[in-house]
Amino acid sequence: MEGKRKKNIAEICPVSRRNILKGLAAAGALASIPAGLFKAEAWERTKFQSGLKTFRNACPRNCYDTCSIKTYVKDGAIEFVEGAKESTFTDGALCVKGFSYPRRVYSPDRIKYPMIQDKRGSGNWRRISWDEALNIISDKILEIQKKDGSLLGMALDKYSGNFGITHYGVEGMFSSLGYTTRFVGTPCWPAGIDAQNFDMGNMWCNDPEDMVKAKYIIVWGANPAWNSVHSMKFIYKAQENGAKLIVIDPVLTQTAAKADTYIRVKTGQDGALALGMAKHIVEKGLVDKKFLADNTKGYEEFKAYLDKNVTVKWAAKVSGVSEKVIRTVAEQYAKADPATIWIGYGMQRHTNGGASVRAIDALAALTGNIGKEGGGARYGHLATWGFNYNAMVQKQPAGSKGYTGKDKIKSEFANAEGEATSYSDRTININKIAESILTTNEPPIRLLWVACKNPFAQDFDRNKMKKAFDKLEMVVTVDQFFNETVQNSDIVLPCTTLFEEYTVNVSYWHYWLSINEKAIPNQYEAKSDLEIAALLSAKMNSKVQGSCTFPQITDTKVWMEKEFNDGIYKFFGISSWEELKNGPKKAILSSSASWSDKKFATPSGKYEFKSDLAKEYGHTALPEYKEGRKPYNKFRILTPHTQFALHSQFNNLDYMQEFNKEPLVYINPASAKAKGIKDGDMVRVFNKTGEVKVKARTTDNIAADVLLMYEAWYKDSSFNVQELVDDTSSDMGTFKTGAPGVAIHDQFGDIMKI
Amino acid sequence: MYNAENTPKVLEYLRDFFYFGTQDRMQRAYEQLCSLNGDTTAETDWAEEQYCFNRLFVGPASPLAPIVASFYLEEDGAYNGQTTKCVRDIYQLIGLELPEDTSIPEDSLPMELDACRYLILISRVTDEAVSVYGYFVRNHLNEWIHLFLEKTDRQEKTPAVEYMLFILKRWVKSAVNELIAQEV
Repeated sequence: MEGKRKKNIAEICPVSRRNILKGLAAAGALASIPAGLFKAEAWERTKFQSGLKTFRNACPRNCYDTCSIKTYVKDGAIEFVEGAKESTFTDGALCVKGFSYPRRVYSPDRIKYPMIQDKRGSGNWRRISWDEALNIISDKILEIQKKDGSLLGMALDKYSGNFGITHYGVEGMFSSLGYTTRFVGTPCWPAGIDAQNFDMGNMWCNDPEDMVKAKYIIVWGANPAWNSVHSMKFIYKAQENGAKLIVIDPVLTQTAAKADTYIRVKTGQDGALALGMAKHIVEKGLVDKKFLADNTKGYEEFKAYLDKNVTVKWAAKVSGVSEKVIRTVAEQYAKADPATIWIGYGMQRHTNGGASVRAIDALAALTGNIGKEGGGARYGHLATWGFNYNAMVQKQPAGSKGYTGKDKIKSEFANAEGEATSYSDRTININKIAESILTTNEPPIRLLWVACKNPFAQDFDRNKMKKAFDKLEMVVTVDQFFNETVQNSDIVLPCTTLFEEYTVNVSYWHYWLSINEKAIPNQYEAKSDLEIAALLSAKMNSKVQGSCTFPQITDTKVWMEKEFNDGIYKFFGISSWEELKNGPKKAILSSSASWSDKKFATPSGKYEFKSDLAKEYGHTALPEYKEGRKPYNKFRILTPHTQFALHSQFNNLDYMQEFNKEPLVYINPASAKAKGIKDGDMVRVFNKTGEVKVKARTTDNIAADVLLMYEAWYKDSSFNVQELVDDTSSDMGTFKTGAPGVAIHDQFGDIMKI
Repeated sequence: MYNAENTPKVLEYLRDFFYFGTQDRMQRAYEQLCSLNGDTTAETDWAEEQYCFNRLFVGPASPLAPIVASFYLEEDGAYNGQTTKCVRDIYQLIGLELPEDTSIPEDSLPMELDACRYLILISRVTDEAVSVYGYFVRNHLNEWIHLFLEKTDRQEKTPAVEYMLFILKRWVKSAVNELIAQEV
């Protein structure tokens, strides 16, 4: 900002400490000063010049990289952050978002105090104390209990805004109150999780650092140059060693720009392309016969399916990729040893997304690239997530009544095995929150608690979401910044950043474990999710003894310690979590390859081309082609992730706004011309769900039938891609995550110049 | 002005108004200040005063005129940078620090007002405090408070908020003028 300049103390105050103290030596001088906001200290304090202290932190955002951070603190304030050098994955560097953390922590925009809004959406906020806030909330909980005879009218909407393991204490807080309504599933990656579970019995990927060993890398529907920057160095190293990088994506991404070959596939037709490649590999006899014979089930049936139903010509027509390219890439991939495929999450956010992942997995199996270092069908893993989930596993108060249905809470991250009871929580698909709030009755959802999530920015059908929120009796949102969800809440509670609490973090991609230390005091009146739960428990019990079982422990270090166990210690080769203060630790792996022992976790113990389990869940047993959602409008609307935000986090910071000043809709120049739209024109993008008004930017990076807008939350802007995204389900997800995913990229719409 | 009998009280009431931000404390500080200055209290809706106060200074939405010096003096507007550190150093120099359970930046307006109040009071004991006060007001407070007040000028304000901002402006102006006059 122009005109601003930093000063040092000498410019403001040339008086030395010694001089001022001399004058104050008179006995009783301080005692005569009326008390103020400060503590008047004894005069011989010596902490005037202190050095930097270092702390270990771990980025808890929903990101592949889960960076190990080293934080430098002086006088209780963060001076700067850097990537930890001890982790060969983070390797001393953070991404643009990570480096902006101090700005996030010390932003004047942070929510500072608990506040209540007089009339939801009015903008008329009053500051209240924590005690008042918890009083209001606990009164509401007791009112619901009295009215309904249960707490099923109390719902939790929480997901991935903070992946610190102790944050599962939010779920624990709900369990400790009684049987409640839970939104289950995930909008993120469930179709792919189910697919890999049907094929291999688990989602488990190679160590990303072993991509350096690959001779051929296909990045399929992922954009690590933006969203997993630390992975790129391993890809570059592989390229330096002679590997080819192929990027398959409907969008010419930053990653595609680094590729030896970029293949533009028709959106949602990845399955057809994979099956075409599979057909060619089989026809050419390029399969790994030994791997197929020893380690797979159903290969002959799959081959028969390909023989009968798939031709390269058909695959070319459906996928938009030429026969020549399909054949070339298939052969190159099959002949390279090892060859790897990175399966992105975007490509499974379709009504046929799970089927497409199964078809891609099949390529890796056909060529014997599973269980091989530098190979693999990489999607993600939860192998390092074996914590106690101590904060999450809480007992309902004695006598709690709940849902008598058969639902059981499922989560891809943690499946807590509770004791068998006659009651359970009521579960609802997290991807249909708005619809569920509007239609759920007996009892209706009365109180919604939002934590680690921003449903207005990230959930689907924004207009329906508004109606749903309007139906709720009370909304409590725990957050760090004001957003549209907070705007539509009654109470907002300020929560801590990662630097203000203890927790522990692992990745769903790499194999490093990082401690997260409390490096600075809680800012203003922010509290961690666990502190909030402990305080709510105290408040509930002060009103009705025994009404909440959550331990009243507010020290996040105590909670963090409880998450470790011998399994974690053994896996990471440490004897105590204290060792993590010296830096992150990597899991001790017998091989960098997942499934290196070829002992798959499927019912047959083999890789299953033919999965009876898949059939049980309503899918085809084989990885067959599945048609996508029928277009219902002129253009396909894509809303992928941006470089400058993690969902709706970071984009509000000045750092990001500098690079990413305003939302844009990207349109192919030919399509723009046909619509009479010039670069920079304001346009309406609309469909049956809603509309947005946004500036157009022409680009060849997308196909003529695509409109692209990056999903993000812009400060002081009503722009929201969820105006255009409905809640249509993807094909898979129920098996492992409790609910199907959502077909985020199966949206259609039109565009018009304003 | 800083030696004027009621200046510490003026600063105390301004401090309380900007620090506590709740209806009862705002109302009490406003009425005390009006009484001290011999001004009539305005008829006002205190709920509206609170909404206005939070919109301007607190949040939860981005405050329109944050009450932290860093916002005006730091390139990125974030607190706990050089400005906060520098102000913290000043406080340490004069033997002040925030209690451990207080985690608001030292360069927040109420903190700085309280530090000024403190310096005025201890200047009766030591001349060095007079120097510190002079430098702090002229070289720091005066650097940002006008930028802050300019921001508030552009916003709609309720009567009590407007009055307190007016008194703040008046005090800074008179304090600076007096310091300049003393130099001459």
